Amino acid sequence: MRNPLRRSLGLVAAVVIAACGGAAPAGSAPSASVTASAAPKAAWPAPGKTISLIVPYDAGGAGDVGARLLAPYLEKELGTMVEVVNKPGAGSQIGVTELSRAKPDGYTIGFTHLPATIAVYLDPERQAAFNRASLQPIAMYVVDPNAIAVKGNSPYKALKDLVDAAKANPGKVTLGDSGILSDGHITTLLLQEQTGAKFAVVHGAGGAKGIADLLGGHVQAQNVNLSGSNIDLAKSGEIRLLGIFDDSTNPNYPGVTTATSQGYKISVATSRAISAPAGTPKDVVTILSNAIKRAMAAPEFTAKAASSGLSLRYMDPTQLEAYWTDLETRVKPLIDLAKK
Amino acid sequence: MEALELLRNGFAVAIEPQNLLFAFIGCALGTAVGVLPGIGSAAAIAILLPVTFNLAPTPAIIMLAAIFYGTNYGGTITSVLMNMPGEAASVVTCMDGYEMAKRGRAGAALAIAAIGSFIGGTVATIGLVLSAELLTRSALQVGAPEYFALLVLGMALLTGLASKSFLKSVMMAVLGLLLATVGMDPTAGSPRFTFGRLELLDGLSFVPVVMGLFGIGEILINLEVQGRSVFQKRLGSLLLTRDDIRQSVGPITRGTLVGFVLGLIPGATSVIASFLSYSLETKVSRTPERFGKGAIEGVAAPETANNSFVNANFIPLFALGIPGTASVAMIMGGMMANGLVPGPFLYRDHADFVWAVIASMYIGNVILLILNLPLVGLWVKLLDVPYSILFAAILGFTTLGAYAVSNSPFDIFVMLVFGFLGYAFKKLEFPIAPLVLTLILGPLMERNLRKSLEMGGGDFTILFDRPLSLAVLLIAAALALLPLLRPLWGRVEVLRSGQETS
Amino acid sequence: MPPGQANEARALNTVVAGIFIVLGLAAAFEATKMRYYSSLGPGPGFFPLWLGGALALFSFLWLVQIRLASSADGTSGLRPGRAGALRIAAVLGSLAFVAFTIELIGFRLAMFAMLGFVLLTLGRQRLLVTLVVAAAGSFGAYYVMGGWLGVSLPNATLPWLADLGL
Repeated sequence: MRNPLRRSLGLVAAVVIAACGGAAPAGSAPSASVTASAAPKAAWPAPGKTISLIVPYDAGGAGDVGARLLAPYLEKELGTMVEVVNKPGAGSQIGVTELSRAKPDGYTIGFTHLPATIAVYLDPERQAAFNRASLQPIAMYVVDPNAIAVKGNSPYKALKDLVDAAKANPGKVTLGDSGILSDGHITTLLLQEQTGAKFAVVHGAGGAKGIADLLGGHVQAQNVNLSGSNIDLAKSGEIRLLGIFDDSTNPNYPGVTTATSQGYKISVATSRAISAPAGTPKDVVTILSNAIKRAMAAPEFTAKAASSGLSLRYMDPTQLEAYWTDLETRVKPLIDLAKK
Repeated sequence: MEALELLRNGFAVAIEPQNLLFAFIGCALGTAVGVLPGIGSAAAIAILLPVTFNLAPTPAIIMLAAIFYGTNYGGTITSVLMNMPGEAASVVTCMDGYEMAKRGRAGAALAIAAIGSFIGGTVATIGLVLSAELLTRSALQVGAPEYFALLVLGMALLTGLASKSFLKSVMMAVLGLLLATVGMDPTAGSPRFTFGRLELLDGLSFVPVVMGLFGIGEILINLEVQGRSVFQKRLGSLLLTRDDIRQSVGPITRGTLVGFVLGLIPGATSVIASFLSYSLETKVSRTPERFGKGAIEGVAAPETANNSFVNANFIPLFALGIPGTASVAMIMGGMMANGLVPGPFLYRDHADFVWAVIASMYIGNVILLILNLPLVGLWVKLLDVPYSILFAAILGFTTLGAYAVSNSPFDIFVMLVFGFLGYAFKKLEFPIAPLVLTLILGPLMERNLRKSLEMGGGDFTILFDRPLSLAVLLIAAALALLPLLRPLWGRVEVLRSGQETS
Repeated sequence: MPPGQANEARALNTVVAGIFIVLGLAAAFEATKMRYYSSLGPGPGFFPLWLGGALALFSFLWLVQIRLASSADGTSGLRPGRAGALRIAAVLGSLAFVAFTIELIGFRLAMFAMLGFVLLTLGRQRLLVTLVVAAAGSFGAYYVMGGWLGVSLPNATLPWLADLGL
């Protein structure tokens, strides 16, 4: 048969073409980018080497815009290319799994959304291939606190009204969230635990649909976050926030008090942290974290982030660890409860 | 009327050279993205978003919007010419569009798709101008129970898709529903039929599945027997005959309505719009057996519905800041990054911007028509490439596309498996359409049923208590039972007239 | 249709029906391991159980239909000839090849090899045409996607290839 000969010729041709064409693109930095402590710290990142920033959601999905907004500013701070890579699927499980398996040299980092990531590795049914120890937190990027909203013409004016209604009609007052073990669901579970009230928990599929459900009268109350178009919806009176589950009030929502001040000690938010695979050298982590901090502080970036509705909140690795641990401790007992 | 006055001003802005240029770029890019399999408009918009940060808001959003509604035009091209859906929504066009191409009528298929899309898009934009807020608030009445009822209606329309063997259609529909259960279930997030594979936790990825069933399946059929000529020689002129136009009027009208209504409902997708439109046509037609064999209605209706859907999607966005699909959510992100927050205040605070974008949507639809119609001849020339080279190009395209959906080699495998299944089904004369339809509708049905039960405290009566969902369910029941009742009615008639049936 | 072919078609259809039945029953069986009904409604196992059962049932009805029919329903030429089967296997095999290697040796090499193979063996093209089309589809596509659309396709992860810049 002539074919095997042709095929080998083809392969040789391919290698030759590849070798020639390959001279230009990705730099040929030797794989000694992560070396023993003998290498000078200033050598990281090696010029010409691209850093992959994994977004475990679809292009255009949760966190993707925020990531793409940050990338160019991060490039400036690090002096090398930062490339957003989408690895969507299974509520971030696929992307984070890949992140945890990447080489811990600092050239692969990614977003770990909380509480989503925690829910993934704590839930036995998910059979996650990673856990807390597989990840090295680098910095916190965005923290968007949770709140409960009702339709503008609803009779409920404060959290107490809602809770009382639920206590009077157990299992009948509908309270929506954006999915099982989402930040909204966690808020609902904690609220039920603290007050003994029982809501009809409705799992939706995300922010916009949740608002649509609320405005259409399909749920009586909805767990929402503070950023984005909700600000205008609240200002115009279309929706009303009963309470914010955070340590402080928010200037975009004048008149809305924290849940704590109303007597419910609950603080839940959806947040986006940037992590690296465990084992990434400490000095690399520091460099990355500082670069992220400076990028987030750039005035041009802050302006864009503000108008995009991103509530930036930087945390360094230590603070992030503490936040993560705290959240994990609170979520753990809720896993079984959530699955009923 | 004040709106018309504002619209006129909007046009004045929209035809400024810079805005026109970006509308054109968006349309061209959108068409290109539509042709490329695996890259959807959401991905394209996401990738171009940072570029728009350096532009003024008006041209930026004009471009992104044009990409969004332009992708439909591109998706049609590969569906018709290669049986390969470039966009999820173009799957439906494969069914009759490709058959038309095989019979030498590719030009007509592409032409009617472009024209229907133009009409659908323009009408939807008119709706946007006239009564955005009213429409949005009405559409908000659709909650989970109503959505579930609507999906049941879609399933009832399935009976129109039945081919020679009813039993085989039912088997395929059931198989589709069974395949739809793969992944995490909506109740508790427990994995179903995932065999421990991470990639299956979200279920079978739709685009690789249909690229396999249609695109690869077709290649396998054609390669099986050497020397088979795939495409008939072009029939006469590539434009539409009077018959074509006559037959397309109804489908285009109905398609516009279906797409428009669904475009208003947050969470509906354009695939559903095109599928429901197609199914509706098979039910309404007096000669349903022509579908699947190159019936022009099978191209006109879904393509119109598609585009009408996509343009109508902007209505809830502009009225209340509710994005209906991922791409629109991205455009919303782009708007917000420029300080323009969609919502109740948008019309009030940024009237010029809003009306300029709306005006440019009209212009965009015109641009797309001008871009695509003359190019039809060029695209059809592609079919002159010998199949022995063309098939390799298709293989390359689909492989790239399958990978690009989620940057995952696993999806290439999925496409491979379904490619073989597509081939097998065709040989065994199993209709693929019911499978694809239930595969789309299945997960949505289960999720919305679940949500309805959560809202109703575990009680099924919530579906019947609410007037809208009850009404839709009754229509669905009527549609499903109708074909069964007709022969009965015929017998009654015969008895009444005193004649004996033999 | 000649009786020999008709019998073959019937036999093949019977096997397929059998496969469907087994598939349906297997799905239903797996479904019994999941929760049937949760506190609020059908649980994870509910629908797969019924759907699997329905599939098995309808497939069984089809099987009956096949066996009772005197002549097979026009499914001519059901079995691909040996050459045809080989071609089909070649296409599927090349797809599998790309799936396995795309993240190992990179998009460019994997696609080039696949397209080259397919054009040479199945398309029976001359070497020149093959090289041009294969290069366009692999390297060309890589740079178009990366440059114009900003979609990066995978590079090689095997070290010696990565150093070559692939």
